[in-house]
Amino acid sequence: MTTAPAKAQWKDAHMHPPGFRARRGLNWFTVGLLYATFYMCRYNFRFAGPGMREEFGFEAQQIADLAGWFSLAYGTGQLVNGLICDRIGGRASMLLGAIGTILLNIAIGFSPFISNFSAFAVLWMLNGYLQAAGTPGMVKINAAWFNRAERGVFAGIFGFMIQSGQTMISLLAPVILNGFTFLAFAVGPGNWRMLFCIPPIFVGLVAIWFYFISAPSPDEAGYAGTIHDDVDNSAGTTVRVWESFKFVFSNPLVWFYAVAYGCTGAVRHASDQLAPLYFEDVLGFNMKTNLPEIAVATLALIPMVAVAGSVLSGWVSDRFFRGHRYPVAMVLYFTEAVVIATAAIVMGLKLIGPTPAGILLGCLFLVLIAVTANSTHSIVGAAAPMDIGGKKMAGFASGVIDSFQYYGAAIGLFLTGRLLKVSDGNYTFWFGLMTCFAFFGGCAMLSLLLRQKGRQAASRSVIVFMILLVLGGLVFGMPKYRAQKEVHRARVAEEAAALAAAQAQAAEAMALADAQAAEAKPKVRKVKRAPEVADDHRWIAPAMDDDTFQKKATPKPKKKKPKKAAINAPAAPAADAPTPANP
Amino acid sequence: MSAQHPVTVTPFQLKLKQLCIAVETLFECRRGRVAFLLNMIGTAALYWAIMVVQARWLAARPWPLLAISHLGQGLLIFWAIIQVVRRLHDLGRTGKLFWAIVIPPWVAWRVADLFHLTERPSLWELWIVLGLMCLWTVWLILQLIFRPGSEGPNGYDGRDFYKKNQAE
Repeated sequence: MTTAPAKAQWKDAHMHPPGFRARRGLNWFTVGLLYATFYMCRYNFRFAGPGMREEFGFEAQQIADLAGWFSLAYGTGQLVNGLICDRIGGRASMLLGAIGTILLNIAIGFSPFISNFSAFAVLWMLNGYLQAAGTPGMVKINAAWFNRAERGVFAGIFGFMIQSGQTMISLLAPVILNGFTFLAFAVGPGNWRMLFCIPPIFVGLVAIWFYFISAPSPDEAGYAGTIHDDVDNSAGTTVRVWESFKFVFSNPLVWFYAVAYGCTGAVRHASDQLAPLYFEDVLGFNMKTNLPEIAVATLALIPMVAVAGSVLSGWVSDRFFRGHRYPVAMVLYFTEAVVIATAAIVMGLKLIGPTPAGILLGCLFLVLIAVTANSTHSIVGAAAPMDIGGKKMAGFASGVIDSFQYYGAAIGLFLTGRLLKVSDGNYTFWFGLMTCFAFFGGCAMLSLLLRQKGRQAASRSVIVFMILLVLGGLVFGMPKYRAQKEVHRARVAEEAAALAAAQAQAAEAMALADAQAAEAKPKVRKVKRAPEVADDHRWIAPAMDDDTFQKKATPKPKKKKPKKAAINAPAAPAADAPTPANP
Repeated sequence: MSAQHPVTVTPFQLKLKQLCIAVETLFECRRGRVAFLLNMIGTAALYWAIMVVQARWLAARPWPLLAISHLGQGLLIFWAIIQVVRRLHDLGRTGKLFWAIVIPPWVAWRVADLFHLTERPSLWELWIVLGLMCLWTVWLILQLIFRPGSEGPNGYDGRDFYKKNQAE
């Protein structure tokens, strides 16, 4: 295989008229900035959670459920909004999403009725649905601005925009929660409602900028015919809903990528969301109060290497594979499977744990998983839909593929949670499950590779192997899971019984000790007091006269402890302070 | 597949196009090593002066003045980037190499900051690794300062470059 045609194609794709690259950079910056600010109106919920719990008494599980409902609405929104996006255009789609998320966040921030959990859940799901207009819109706009052999690097930068959006709200939220003053505007500390009122201001400002600067395609910016679309090179960027639906749904490539992207979602979300628990349970860190330096370093390193991996994999697919994503994605999935399987083996050998070497290994594996998972995330989630749908149908292609990420994440988290529960927090299962997902994604890409090379039979046999893999997992895994669940249940019941017995024993021992103390008390008094003087107080001070004795013998009212008195009592007036008697 | 849409370009978009061409043209020219060095020294001196003013005078002033000073710093950085790209063109090399000058030191700085390397002289191996990572950057910077520019047209001469490609 020679790389000469790929080189020539790559060179042609990067030759543009004067000013085009600057204009495209401006367009991409504007679109990416709006997309990043979308994250500010989504991840604000993470920071508002504790305040909401305190004010409304929402339970932790309710907060977690809300995040789940949001994901469900977001995934479904990708499907529906992707289709609408192809009809109305990426620019209109992003603007509608921005306006919707602004209104909903402000409604949540200012309305008194959100103290009702159901009302809040409905509003937050609506927000999830409207936020889902962002990705298809952004992918569609950029599909029109980039040649096929340029989209990989763009997809890497897409990963950077996601990270920057999260960083923006992570920096802004503590400022809002600590309270601040800006000109005549003052926000008190702990005002979580402002987390829903201030980020929309940023989205609004960027949306205005976006409205004026962005163009849906180079044609509308004065660069007609600069970009060649492999799918449909005719003018315009919109198509009828039915056309888009028919084209994308009947395109097998979409489903290969969607299945693979579901696996990416399962690994990426599992590693992202369970990392803090892994740090605590396996590496023995205290994540609430005393975050160790290596945990901070790992958490800071993950986004950096993730962006680097995304850009590099995108560039490799552009430069050496003529804009084909599946070969690079396949290599990445299988590498990911090998990395996670190694982690599982190392974990099984108990080499990962709260020792210096164990901590280093544990953190290293997390970083490696982040690199591989985020690299596939960019090229499969952003570059592939553009290649499949082109400038006219990239919205729906992106919607279908991206929605699978959330469904995959839901399945992955659901299974991981249950496995961790029945195995009493054995994280080897976590790694094992992620290995399966990564391997499955690699198989999907292998099947696509064979299909594209014209080896249909081999491609189908890989698909059959994948189906057998799932069935085998269900047939052999379910009984084992059930058996383990019974063992876990029995163990929990046994522990509960042991705990109850211990508590009963402790209570009995305490009761016995009380009874003994009660019996022992009078004896002690008898020992202290001589029987002949027990009822005669005069022995204490025989030299006292009667008046003095009476004063001493009269029981005094009990005084409170000085510390508590000082805290509870109102502050004593100063000696020179005015009193009612002495104004 | 779908109906052809008439594509209209608004006057504002055309103005943006002109602006982008003007900005892109800024990077296209060539810059000799002496002019490059003088420009960089001048830019660095101005940047340092703004920093001094910020520290000594602007800290207690209203925030718009501070914002303007930051804007000035941003413009100086932009000017420095233009100088580097022009100098690379003078050497007959692509301006994209600017990223090779910026990214490795940035990564080294982030890693050093992340692991508090300045407070840990015992981790000298890591310093060597970071130094090796920046080796190409150092080599490029030395070339920018000392290597003479190429003679005659070299493919990075702005308008000529595009004209040639359009003619082809």
